[in-house]
Amino acid sequence: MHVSLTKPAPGWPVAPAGPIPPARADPPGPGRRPGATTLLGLELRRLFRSPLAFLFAAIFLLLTGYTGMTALLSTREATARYAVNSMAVLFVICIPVLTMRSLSEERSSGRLDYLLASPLSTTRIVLGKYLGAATFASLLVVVAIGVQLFPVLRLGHPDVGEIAGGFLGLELFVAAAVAVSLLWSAVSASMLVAGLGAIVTLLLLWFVGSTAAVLPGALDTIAQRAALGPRLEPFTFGLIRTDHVAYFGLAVLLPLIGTIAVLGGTRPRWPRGRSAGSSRLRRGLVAVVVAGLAVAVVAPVRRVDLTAGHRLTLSRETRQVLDRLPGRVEFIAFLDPSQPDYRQARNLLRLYGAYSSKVAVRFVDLRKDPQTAARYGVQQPGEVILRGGGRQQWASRSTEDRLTVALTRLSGGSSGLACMAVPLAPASLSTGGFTRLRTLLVDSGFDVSDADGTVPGGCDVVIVGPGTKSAAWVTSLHEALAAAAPPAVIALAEPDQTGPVTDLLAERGVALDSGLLRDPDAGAASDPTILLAQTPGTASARSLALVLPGASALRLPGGAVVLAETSPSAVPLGPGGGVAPDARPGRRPVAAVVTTGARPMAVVGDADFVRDDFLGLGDNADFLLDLTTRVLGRKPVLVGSRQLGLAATSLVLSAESARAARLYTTILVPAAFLLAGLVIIFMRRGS
Amino acid sequence: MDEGYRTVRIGSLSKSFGSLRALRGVSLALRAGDILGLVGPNGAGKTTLFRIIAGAVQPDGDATPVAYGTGEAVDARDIGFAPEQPPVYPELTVRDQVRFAARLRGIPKRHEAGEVRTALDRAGLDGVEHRLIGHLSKGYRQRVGLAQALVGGPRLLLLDEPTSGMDPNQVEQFHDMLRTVAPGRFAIYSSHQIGGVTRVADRIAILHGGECRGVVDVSHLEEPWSPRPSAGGPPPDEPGRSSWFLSENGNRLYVQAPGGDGERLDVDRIFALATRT
Repeated sequence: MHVSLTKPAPGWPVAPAGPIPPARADPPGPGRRPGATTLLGLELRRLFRSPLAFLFAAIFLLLTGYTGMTALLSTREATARYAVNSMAVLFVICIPVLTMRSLSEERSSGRLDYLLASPLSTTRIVLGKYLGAATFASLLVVVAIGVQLFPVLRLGHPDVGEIAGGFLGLELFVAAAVAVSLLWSAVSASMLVAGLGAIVTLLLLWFVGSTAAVLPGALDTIAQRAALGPRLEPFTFGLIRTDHVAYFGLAVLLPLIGTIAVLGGTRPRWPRGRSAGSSRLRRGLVAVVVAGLAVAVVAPVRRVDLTAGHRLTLSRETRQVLDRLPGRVEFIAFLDPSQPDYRQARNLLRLYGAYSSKVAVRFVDLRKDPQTAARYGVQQPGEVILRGGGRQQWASRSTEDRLTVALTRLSGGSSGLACMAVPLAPASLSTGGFTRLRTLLVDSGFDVSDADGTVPGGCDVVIVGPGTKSAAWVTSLHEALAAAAPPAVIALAEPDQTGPVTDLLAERGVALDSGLLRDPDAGAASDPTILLAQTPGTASARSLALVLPGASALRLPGGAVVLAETSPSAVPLGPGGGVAPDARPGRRPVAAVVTTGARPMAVVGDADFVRDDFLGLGDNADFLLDLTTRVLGRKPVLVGSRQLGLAATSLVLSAESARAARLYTTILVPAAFLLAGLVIIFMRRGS
Repeated sequence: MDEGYRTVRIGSLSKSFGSLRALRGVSLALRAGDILGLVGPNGAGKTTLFRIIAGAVQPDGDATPVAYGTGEAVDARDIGFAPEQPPVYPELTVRDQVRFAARLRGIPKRHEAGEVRTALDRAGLDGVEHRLIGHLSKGYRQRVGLAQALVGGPRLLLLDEPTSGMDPNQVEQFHDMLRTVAPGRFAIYSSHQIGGVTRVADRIAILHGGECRGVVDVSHLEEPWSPRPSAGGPPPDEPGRSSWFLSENGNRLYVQAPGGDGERLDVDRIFALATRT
């Protein structure tokens, strides 16, 4: 027998002697390094070539379509808020189902070894897998939101900023849920265990905020900070907070780093040629985590308000006032927790404190501490005393316009001198006088002076109202106006009275239509009629609800800028109070700016809306302030009051459109995806 | 080329999974152009050895376990790994799967199509490249796994039970292919069918209980270990020869003919005979 043997020896065996075949011409060297996109491409190709993805999408769209439309039809609000919330709840289940096979299946099928043996770094394997699942889930969000939005946009006027916020929040939520599910998928080779583990984890994170109240101190704080559900909510309102973005960033990165640690823990580092920069990438991820923690825990919270009119944050004007504060200011807010606007007022005041370190807010419960309220002369809940620099100012309500104007006054600013030629409380006027208008102007930073037959020097704006003044008063006022030449005049006209205003208007070529304006849809003529006035010329371009029990349309000279109109259904009434037979409904101007020479004059077709009884209704007070700012040609400190909070317009919904919307979202779209899945199944049969 | 790049040294590899010692100081040497057959009964540690050499699993200890004669670790892009269970995705077509392997290996885009074509041809997948892997037989899936290992021409080929599921004709084609690609490369080929391994390998290593029982040059072995055709010798496809298998009894390892009551040869005795010569 002829045998030769190379026995295993201690250490390295010696290579046997003999002829060696020629080696490859191309020695190992640097080449193209595979990146995460290699695996991402594979994942996407697998998903979109599998009927499973389309069937999964069909089920998801069916469920979100049903829940979203049910919420939409019951609330009838033109918003995607409810759809976003229902999608998030469904994703808590669906994302783990989608992602559980990502690494578990690779492990159980033996493919994971192949990936781990490849030149791809562990970080890139994890990123590739993550991006594959996250991209699919993200596309699902786009489709689902798009499907839900279609009827909302068709049937209403939703706030686009709010929708954008909800979309962003949902995408971040999905990104975090995919990362958590991927970690479970890396931990367990069983898809079932991975899926259930991820679902339970996400549910715990979702609900931990609501159960945290039963936990002791430090645990309660941790639970509140870890809670997932409350983090998503502000996004659905259109509010993006930096600490919430940081939270979601951490919720993505920490599980990803955990997944990298799990996969890389048993993976050798000796092979050369694995993707370069892997350690740099890992260091980068860690750096981002540290930065995210800093933002979430230490850094001051910044808010980006996407809503139209920035309903959820302080306005730019307020922020400018706060930025210019010369010293510390204390807000003493007198609130009553039983009042419906308590939370809103409290949140608003906290926003001031959160924005500026110079602002300290102290809350006084009016019911529990009436002595303090009495000491400051406060009587109504919502009133706020502002103290600073040895001075004190007062805001009559806890609304942003009142607070900011008071803050401006406290800082030494003045809006100017307003001279009022109006009856303050004439008994002959059923709707009261203009006492509250005076207070409003004072609150808004104006120094107010009476113009009783004369116009004091230095008036920035003269407000002329109807009244029962004498002819001599009228004559002297006209002469005084001509002599003083104030920069601006606001004329509050009353259709059933002649006097200084109608004379003044006649001089400027403005006439009042005879007859009252009524909205036939508003019911009996004796009821105050609320007309929707359009304000195309105002900076805010918002609709104002004007209370016009006796609104009179203006006939205006050329060049006048119409600020407010009646609703399209308003018709003028005849002398007897009934609708004239030939009267046709239509929009009619009720407020305008007329410029004669260099001086603008604002004309309001009915003075009632700023009288004491109606000034506080709707946006009337804001309209007057807006008007004043406009005729003065100044930059507004604050254009109109802003009720911070959620707003939603109603859907214009008929039974037919509701049926169509439901059919579209819950039947047609899911059926299309189901069909796509079937097509793929039949196509696969042939290959 | 540096002579050091013509050898690859593996060892000394140990691996424990909890209390189970899967490998106990296994060392091997590979020569360029050399096909090393790895045989051993189930649970001998073959798959663990492949996983470690491929770079998927870290052996016990921190040493570099797979390096050229120069001491330089083998490049991950130069390892072609075909696990026993083909790492394929049923949703993909054959071509997409191999293209993925090419991208994973970092093959430049301009060479990708050519390399994929070559690998498909070598693995005998011409004509099925556009079929879904989920619709292929087990043997064809093995071929796809092989094509993935071959794409880009890696220097170190790790083929763990590559003929599993193949019919005898396909096995013979595989052996031809392996002989074609072997020159200049380092190849380790495992199979539970000794006849198959010895027909194509230059040397065989016996793995038993996590230990390497010996490495023997096949060309110098007597029956039933030397089925390779030689001048005047028996034909390689003599009936029954390729189905000889390894069996164990306690710490003893045997080469056994099929049928249960067939001939049984003690592996240690075979090695002893070989050593005595």
